[in-house]
This record gives sequence, structure tokens and C-alpha cells, in this order.
Amino acid sequence: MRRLTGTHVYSYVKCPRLAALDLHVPRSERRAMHPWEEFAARRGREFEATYVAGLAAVAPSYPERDFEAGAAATLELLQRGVPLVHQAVLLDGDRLGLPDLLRKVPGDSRLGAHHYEVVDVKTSGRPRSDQILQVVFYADLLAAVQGRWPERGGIVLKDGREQTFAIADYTAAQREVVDELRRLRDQPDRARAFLQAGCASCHHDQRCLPELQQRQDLSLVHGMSHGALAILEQRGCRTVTDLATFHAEGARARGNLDPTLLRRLRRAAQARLLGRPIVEARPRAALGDAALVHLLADPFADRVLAFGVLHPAREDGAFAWAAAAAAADEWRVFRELVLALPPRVPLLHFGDALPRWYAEHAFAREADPALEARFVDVGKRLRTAAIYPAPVFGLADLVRHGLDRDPLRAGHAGAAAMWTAEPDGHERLGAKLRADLLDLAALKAVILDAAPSEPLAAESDAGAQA
Amino acid sequence: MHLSLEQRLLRFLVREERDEQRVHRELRAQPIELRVLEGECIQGARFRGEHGGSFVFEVADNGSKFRPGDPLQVGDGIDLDDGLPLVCGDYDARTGELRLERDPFVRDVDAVLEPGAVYVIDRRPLGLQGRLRDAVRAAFAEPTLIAVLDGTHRARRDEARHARAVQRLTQVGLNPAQVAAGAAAIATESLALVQGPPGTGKTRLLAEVVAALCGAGCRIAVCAYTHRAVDNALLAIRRAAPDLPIVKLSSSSSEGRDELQAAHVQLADARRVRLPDRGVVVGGTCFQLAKLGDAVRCHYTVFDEAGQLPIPHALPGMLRASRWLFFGDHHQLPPVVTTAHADREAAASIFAHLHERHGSHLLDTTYRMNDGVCEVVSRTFYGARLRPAETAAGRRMPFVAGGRLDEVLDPALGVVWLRVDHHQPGQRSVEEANAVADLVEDLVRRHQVPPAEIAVIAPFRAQVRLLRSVIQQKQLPGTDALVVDTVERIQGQEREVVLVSLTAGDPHESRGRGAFHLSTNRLNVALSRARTKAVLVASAHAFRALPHDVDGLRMASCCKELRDRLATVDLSRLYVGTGP
Repeated sequence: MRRLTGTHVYSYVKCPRLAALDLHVPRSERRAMHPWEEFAARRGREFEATYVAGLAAVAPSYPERDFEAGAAATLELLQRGVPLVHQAVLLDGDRLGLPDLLRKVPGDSRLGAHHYEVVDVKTSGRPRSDQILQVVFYADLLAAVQGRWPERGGIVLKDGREQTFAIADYTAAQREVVDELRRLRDQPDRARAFLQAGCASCHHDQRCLPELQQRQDLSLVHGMSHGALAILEQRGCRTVTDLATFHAEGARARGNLDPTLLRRLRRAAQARLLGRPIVEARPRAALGDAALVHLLADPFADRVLAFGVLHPAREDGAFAWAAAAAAADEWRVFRELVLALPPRVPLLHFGDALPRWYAEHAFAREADPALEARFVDVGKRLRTAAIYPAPVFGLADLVRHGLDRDPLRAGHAGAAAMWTAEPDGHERLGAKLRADLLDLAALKAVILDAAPSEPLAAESDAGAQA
Repeated sequence: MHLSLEQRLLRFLVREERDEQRVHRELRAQPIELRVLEGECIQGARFRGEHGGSFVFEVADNGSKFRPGDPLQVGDGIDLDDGLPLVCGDYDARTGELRLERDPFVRDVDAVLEPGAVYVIDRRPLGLQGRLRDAVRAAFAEPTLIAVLDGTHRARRDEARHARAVQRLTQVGLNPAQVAAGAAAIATESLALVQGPPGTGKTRLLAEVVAALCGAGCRIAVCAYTHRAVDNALLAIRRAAPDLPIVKLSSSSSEGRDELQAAHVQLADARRVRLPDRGVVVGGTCFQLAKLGDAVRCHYTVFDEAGQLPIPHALPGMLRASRWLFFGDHHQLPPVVTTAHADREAAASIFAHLHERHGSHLLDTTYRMNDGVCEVVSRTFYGARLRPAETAAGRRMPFVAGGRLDEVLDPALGVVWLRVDHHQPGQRSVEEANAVADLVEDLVRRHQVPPAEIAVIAPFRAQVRLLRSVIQQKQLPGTDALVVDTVERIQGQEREVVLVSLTAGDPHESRGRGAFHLSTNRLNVALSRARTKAVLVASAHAFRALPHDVDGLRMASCCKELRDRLATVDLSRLYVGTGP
């Protein structure tokens, strides 16, 4: 029987299907890591190693992959009362846990007058629910060893701060996840694929995406939710083609789905079959003489690597960019680029990376409310101004489905940090910024500045109005 | 970057203001249908004409979040700078009639509506500027206030005053926990916190404390986040002390004017009012207290519903005095925050912030909930520290056996989960609305529970509207007295029976929405309005949510525990897959 591990818990929170495949598909069949993914994983390992090196933690010694021996060696360390155990092995029935650190704390247990709590080392800036559940999973295993639950768990963040939390606050969720994982181990088909934001970076993408396309899965429709999909399938509407012509008379026939939502989903299915976006009628949002502002970041280091601007926000606009050599440089680089633009032009940006960076940095410096008021999230407007032939989660999806272009022709934004260590890194940053800005300008032209699409023939149905 | 609490509070205020503006701007850029789905727009409103000063529209399906008093705009839904600005009035779900009123604050409007024409109704932005940044800066110039806020202050008490307070509060019939908390508040030289779970007599205690202090010649400021909460506190003080001078700092649009005036509460403009130096209670929201002249000082500022009061909002009130009494409960409704990634500490309520640093006195006996309801609420939200008073424990709702929903309404079960396993995305569930309407019908017709003793609560306004509409179709007698609303509108009230519609049926949606429908604070308030019976109508799928944010996960986990604790009746077959 395949053992459940902390990694499965982590995967399940991201996507149950991912957890199911991790449980059943051999590692050799996963997509190989991209270089930038390897780069990020290496940085994570190095961070953990550096952090732990300063702690004088003791690791159990055991033959490789002999987890029974590892668990016995761990138990011996715990019984000895070692203050800090690194890479402990916790084994209980069908569950295996390899927490980064076990820390000795006062309080009676089966081990004596002390017990242990779990601390995991992560490279994120704030704790996430998958990380919390992983720690609670280890705490559950630890409870079986020491005969009591630890009261608290901890997560060390990338700035070295440790955030602790009450284990009891999350045990019900952890129990449910483990129960679900056991069911998935026995019945892998319980979790079906559903196209979502994380699919593009998943190591099983080569398995799920063709499967979805082959069965014309409803999750390929822009705006589809799990709930709406379940209701539509119960009504016999199972494929994109079914949905494009799905007409339901009355609330019962449409499974009580909101009629406005159903109308939009049907239009989205039609857009998928047409292979092009349908631009919607919407309020006139005058963007006037706008500029596009974009950035490339290194999330691990909490750094912006480079800013770029395109003004006017057209594909023939003037492109300028500058790299920030260090964190202290970011503010100056941004100000110089933006101050070179005509005053008062709206600053179109994609997503919340720029305003969040500005809010974080401007507060302690020369915050300019007038400048901040010029920020306009063009990403949100693009997502809502049209119905796309596929779900759009990020800029790459918008470029692919709104422009029919390859969004990665200048590389993947996630690789930016890696490029900085390469000889042509500077040029690659500039090229990527330029490509993204040109894509955004093109999207603005074909989606935001375009007249609404003509109504589709299939739209003029009475059923949709029911 | 390390920021001090002052800087974080200022940053929080800046972000709140900016994000409110941005949210509105982005909403106005969306297509009509998306605004409709968000509950921020009504499409296809046919203008019937102007009657009795109101603009009357016919609205077939009102799934909006609009409430009476909300600023709205009527137009084509495309050119949002060119509509008619009106204010939301009443909506009658039976007739589909929506009445809008003129906005007294908007002049020089030349737009005209054409009878018979169809319009789009949108929300209109309302510019609210606070004086809170000044209050934050002023507060952080006061060493004692800084020490209180950062937790280094140690409150001292006057022992003689404490002894007298114990005697007085015992004489008026308060229970031991109330006496201990009230005496600590009266005797403190600086700070006291009283945590009052539902039905534990928090507001009565507040009134007795204020009456005692004011009777001893103190000038007391009473502050809360909303006018309604201020009014409730002042009316409770009036009941405890019929002769005390009480002044309410009031805006002209204050809802409860008549009730206050009937209770001989003087209404006054904060900028013009002249207060006696001693023996007076002056109540107002934080904004009203901020408008008082700088020289106006009080002996105490007493905060009610402090669990809903953001820290910056409490500071204008704190600056009025050097002794502060906080009555609240951080397990009930939290402050309303717009910023999605708000600094958790800066966005916390003043009560939660101070409770973490100074602790509080818990009122541990509820006079509202019977044993069954109290057990679930106490174990789920209060670590089993809350117990029912003897007078409340054995109470049961009226019950006449023989109905098809007997299993759900069995009075022996305090809280029941009625399973209706639908998958509805969004903010409406017809399935749950039908189940709730049947329960209301059974309660009223079979069990003779007066509609005024029933409350129906849902997390989303769209669901509230749907519930009202489906219940109205039952044509039950007296349903005008039935409360159907969101939990925010029912805090502070109680009913014999409470029906909660959780609404959400798609666990994956809660990842993006946070765990709004699974908010433990909201669920606590909703269930604890019940004296003898609470029914949670919900899909099993709603409980499967695993939100990505840590707070959301904590609440979702708590809801899973709640689910496992409840008696369950599964009527999915009756309500799922059926139309209205």
C-alpha cells in the first residue's frame, strides 16, 4: 500500500487530481522540471540547509529509504531529549512524515517530562494553508509517537521569522484531507481533472490537459466553476459542444443555475468553438493617453528585478526599461521611468504586483497619492471585457487566447531570477519586458479598445431568457 | 521593512481609502452581466413612473445587494457618468416593485426617465473621508495610549471603589461573572475589557457600569461603530438610570431618532453641543466624537460592540478620556475591511488587539440560549466556557408532532444541520431557499411559532432577497414581522427559532472569496440569535472548502468540527433538482 506523505497533503490542497496522480503515477512519468523550477527548488534547499546549519540540530542516521529504521532512530533521539531534530522520520501505519525540524518543549509525554513540536522551513513570505496542513499532518504523526498532540506548530519564512499557530485550529481540516487521500489511493478516479490556474506549472500537465481536450471537458470553458459543471453534467450537458447549444426551459431544467450565469457560460462555450474572444458591451472606461507599466520580480528575494514602460500604450509606443541592481535601487528606477512619462497619464499595469510593490515601498518614502491614483489594473479589465475561448488565469493565458500568440516567446517570467545569474541575463530581462508590454498593448487594442462583438446567432434564443 | 504600529495603522487607512476607490472604479468598468452577477447592478428595470415622490420600477429578478439608503444611479448601464442619481428605497418581492427616492444631497440633475422604458440600475460611489489619520497621529503622541496599545501598560485599580462596585452590582441582581467584570471596569484607573458572548447581558452590564460612574459625577462618552449600536447602548443606560442626562451626537439622517426622543435622550449636533462638566452621558460614533471641540474631555470613554471597531476608529474616542472601558466580543462580527491583503494586526478590532495584550473578563452565563443551542455555540466558538442560565437551559420551542419536517424541528435537538447537497455556485441557492420556506411554513402553521419569533439569516444579500421572495409565496399570516436578513443586520437581536442558509455549494469558490460563508464569527452570531432552536441549512459541499489563506483555513476547519458535532437530517432528495 502506498504511504501517504506530507507532500500528498500539500498536493491535495492545490488539486485533488494532482494528489491522486502523485499517488498512482511513477515519478518517471512526470514532466521533467523546467530549468527555472530546478533553480527555485535549489534555492529552497539551500535556504533550508543554511537555516538549519546555524541551529545545531541532530539528524537520525539510517540506511537510505529504510523508513522503519529511520523512525526507530528518530524515536531514540526523541527519547534522549535532543533539543532539535532535523529530518526526523515519523511513521504510523500508512502515513509517513519527514518534517524539517522537531523542537523539544516542556510538558509531559510518553517520552518523559518533555515533548516535541513541528517546525517546517519554507521559502514563502507568509504561511499558506497547504504548509499549515503539512505541519498538522506531521503533528498528528508525532502525537502517535509521543502520546500527545503538540499545542503549536511553526513555519519559518524566507526572512527567517517563525510564525507559530495552534495545531487544534486545523486538525479537522487535516483529518478530512487524510481521509480523502486514502479514498484517492483506493479509487484514483474520484478526482477528475479540472482546468485551473496551477495546471500550467503542474508536473502532470501532459497527462491532464490532453485528457480534458479529448473529452471536450466543460472546465475548458471560460468562467466555468466546479459547481456549475456538476449541475450541467447532472442535466446531461457534458461537453463544450453540448453547452454551446444547451437550452433549458425553466429553472428545474437548468438545475436552478442562475440564468445570467448560464447565458455567459453558453457564450463562452461558443467562443471556444469559434476559437476567438467575444468582446462584451461595457461602460466606456476612458483610458486616454495611457502608458503601460510592467515589472519582472524575484519572489523568493522579494525583489523587483526590472521595470519597463510603453508609451503610448500601443504596439508602436516607445519602450523604455531599467534593471534594479539591488533592492535599494528599485524605488529610484521606478521613479525615473515614470517621471519621464507625461504627467497624469493613466498607468496601466497587469495584476496587483505593481500596486502592492508601490504600497509596500512608497509608504516609508515619498508616497504620491496622485501617482497611485493613476494605477489601472488592465488585467482585471481584460479578463472581464471579453469572453475568451478558454479560461484565462494569467497574462500568458490572455496572450494565448486573446491574441493567439506564444506568450513565452521571450521566456517565462518565472525564470527572471535565474537569468540574472547568466551572461545574457540583462538582455533577456529587457526582451521579456518588451514582449510582455507589446502583448499587453495588443490586448488593449483588440479587447479594450475594440467595439463589442456582434451577437452570435445562437444567442437569440428564448430559452436563455427563461 | 519594519513599521511601527502607528505606521501600520496609517498605512492601513491609506490602503482602505485607496482600495475602496479602486474597487468601485473596477466594478464600473465591467460588463453589465458581470455587475449583475456580483449583485451590484439590476438589469431590465422597467420605469413605471413617479408616484408619491418615489420613482417606481418593475424588477422581475432582483438579485442585487442594494439596501434602502444605498446611493444608486439609473441609466443605460454603459455611460455611468450620465445617469439619474437616486437612493434605494423599498423592494416588494411579491410585486417586483422597486421604489427609488431622490437624493437630497444631489442637486442640478437634469436627467429624465421615460415611463415604460427599461433601465439599468447601478451603485453610485459615495466619497467618505475620515479624520482618522489625525486621530492616529494624535494618539501616538500620548505615552499612556501608546503603552495601552503596545501592551506594556499595567492597569491599576482603586480597591475602595472596587469594593463599593461589587456591592452595588450585586444589589442590582447581576451574576458573579458580571459583578466581577463590572467592578473591574468601575475600579480601573485606565483600562478594562469585558467579553460578552451572546445573551450574557453585556449591554445591561455596560448600562449599570455607566449609571454607577455617571451617578458618581463622571462625564462619560459612549462610543460604537454604528449609530444603531450607540442607540442600543444609550437606551439600555436610560433603562438603568431613568434620570441621567443623556446626549446623542446625531446626524440628521439618524434612523432611531423617535425611539431616542421618547426615551428623553437629547439629540445634538456635535459641533454646537454644550455639555455639563459632570454627571452626563454623551454618545456617538467615532466620527461624531471626533467632531466635538478639542477641549471636551470625559472621565471615561465606554465602547460598545468594540469587537467591530477597527483600531483607528477607536482612537478619537480614546483621545477624549484617560480611562477606557471596552465591551465587546472578538468572536462575533469583526470590523469590515476592504483591503484584500490587509495587515492583519492593523485590521483587527480594538477589542481583539487589546484582548491579546491585556486579557478580558468573560461573561460566562447566557440568558438567551437553551442547553442544546448553548452547547454547540459554547463548544464551537468559546472553548466550552459558556453555559446557559437555569432559566434558559430547559426552554423548548413549541412543537406539534406529525409534520414532514419533524426530524429537523425536533425540540430536543438544539442545533440541526439540514443537508441539502446542491452545487450552486455564486450567491444564491434556490434549493436552500425552498427548504427554508418549508421550515418557516411548518413553524408558523403547524407549530404556531409567531413569525416575529423566527429569524432567517444568509451570508449574501442576493440569497436574502431570494429567501424573502420564496417565503412570501407561501402567503403565511404575519410574515411582515419575520426577519430575513444578513447576519450584520441581526446582531444584537434574538428569536425563538433561527434558520441559517449557508447558500454556497461550490467549495472551490471559497478559495477566491476567502471563507466568507464559513466565517466562524458570522456563524457564531447567526446561530446564537436562537433561544431554543437553530437549523443550519447547507450543502455538504460547502463544508469541503479548503481556502488557500490561513485565516480562511482556520475557519473552514472550525466549520468542519461544527458539522461533525451537529445532528444531521439529509433532505437532499426533496430539495435538490427541484425548481421553485
